[in-house]
Amino acid sequence: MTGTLPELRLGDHLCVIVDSDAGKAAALADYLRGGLRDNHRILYYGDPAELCDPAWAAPLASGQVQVVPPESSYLASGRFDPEATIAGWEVACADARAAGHDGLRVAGDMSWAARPVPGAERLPWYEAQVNRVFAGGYAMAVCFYDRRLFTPAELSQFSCAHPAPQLRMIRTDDPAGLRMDGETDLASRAALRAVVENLADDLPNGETLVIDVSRLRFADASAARTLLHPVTVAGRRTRLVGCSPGLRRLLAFHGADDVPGLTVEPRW
Amino acid sequence: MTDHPALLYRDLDEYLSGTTAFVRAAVAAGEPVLAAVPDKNLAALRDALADLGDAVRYVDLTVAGRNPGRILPGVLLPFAAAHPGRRVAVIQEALWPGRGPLEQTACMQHDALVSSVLTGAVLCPFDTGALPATWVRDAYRTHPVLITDGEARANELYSASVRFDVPLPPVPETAATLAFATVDDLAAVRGFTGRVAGRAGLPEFGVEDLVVAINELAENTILHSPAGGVVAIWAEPPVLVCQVDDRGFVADPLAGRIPPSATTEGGRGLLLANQLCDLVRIHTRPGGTSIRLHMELVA
Repeated sequence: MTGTLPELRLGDHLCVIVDSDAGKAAALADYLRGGLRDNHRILYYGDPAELCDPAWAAPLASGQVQVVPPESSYLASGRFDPEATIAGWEVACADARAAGHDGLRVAGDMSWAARPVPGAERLPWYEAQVNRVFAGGYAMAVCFYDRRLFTPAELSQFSCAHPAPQLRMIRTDDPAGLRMDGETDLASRAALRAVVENLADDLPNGETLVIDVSRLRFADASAARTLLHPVTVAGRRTRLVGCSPGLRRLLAFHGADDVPGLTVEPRW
Repeated sequence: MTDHPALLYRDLDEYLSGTTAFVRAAVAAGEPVLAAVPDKNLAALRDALADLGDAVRYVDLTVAGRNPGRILPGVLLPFAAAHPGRRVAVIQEALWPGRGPLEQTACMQHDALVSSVLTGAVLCPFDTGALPATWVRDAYRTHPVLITDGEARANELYSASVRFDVPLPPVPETAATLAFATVDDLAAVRGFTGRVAGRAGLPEFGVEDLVVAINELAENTILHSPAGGVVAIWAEPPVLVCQVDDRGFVADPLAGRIPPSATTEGGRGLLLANQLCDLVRIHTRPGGTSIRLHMELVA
């Protein structure tokens, strides 16, 4: 990992695997500085010493930037509680909005998960579920995982819960639904499932869900099946808008032609 | 329990005599009948059975069974599912003159699995006048009963355990190849597949289907074979050939041929490849699996 991250926007959730402290510091600073430019509330769950550069003094003093070690925030109880942590995100979003910020930009040093913290085994579930917060479109996050602390299998599992930069998913209120942009395969499967399989719950209002896939350039078989979940499992009428010919063939493979309550609308 | 005789015929008369006797006996027994045969025999069979009307369902297997791996999930199982709890009677002629050598072994792989999945009778006609003699001998190995000159006899060469999981011909040195190991490589696998297939002249929808199929195979490799795999692509007109090699082992010979239940996650990659591609040939053994796909180059 060098000092550059892909261009990120609100709604993104990126996993960055770092090999060195220096590489991480550069990427972190680059990412957080973007929040000053964009009037974001900036939250770093990590070591306050990492933001000792004098350039951070003023935004730290004003409260635009906040640095909290995980041990004194979401791990303060001595264990990792995914549900409470996700609830904390909603509070942080509300606080940032109340303070007049245009978004919430978060970075997290995930090194604690390599230690025997009770509840850490639920981190993959959390990393997938927290995408429902980002799909709200107000928050974004970069999670730093240190290659020196985790096994390749663990890193791969964490990575699949972070859809950026491959896939962007943003919920919409009018019409109630989801807008998807990019590509989705095994690398974003856990994230996609968490967002889409909870879409009916996260958007309780409105008769029909409109899932706009007109900017989805690739979906694998599993993703196409996931797109049917709101109608086949949650029982919510669904329109899949802007389906490519390839996606339509995949949906038909999963039996979409015979699903009541589903409309598949072609891109062209 | 499935009866699975081979009908060895030399001409259309022998063909019609053997197949119509099978169909009429099944209809008389009240069994649903499916005739899945190549177009060259379809019209003659339909004419000979015209008096039975809708009692027989006809399928052109050169289309529905172009890829032999599609015959179980796409033709036989849906027919059986439409008649739950009943014995079905099927004429299945999957091998015809003009099939390639890889298609022949794929037909035999399929044929060796039919009995374990269907309940009823499956009659497999073989055109002994036109098929290579070695192919006819291969057919002996998957059919416990042979019908010749109107006589059925037990077949000593039959083996219930034969799988025809024979090695694939080597990948040519001129093939374009790409190694992959993790989910981060999937986008590159898709880009590579799309570029090479497009340059080779595969029509656009064929390129899309091949990219989807190869992505599924590569995902399977990544999930089940930590050492990763290699995708290779080359042209063997009239088909484009694509092969994925990895160190894994596909333990279930029915993989890709039986749709999982609606509530099962995953396990559909090979099934999808069978649907999208003109041939899917698998060679698997502990420590290594090769899956070869064919896509027709000319529409």
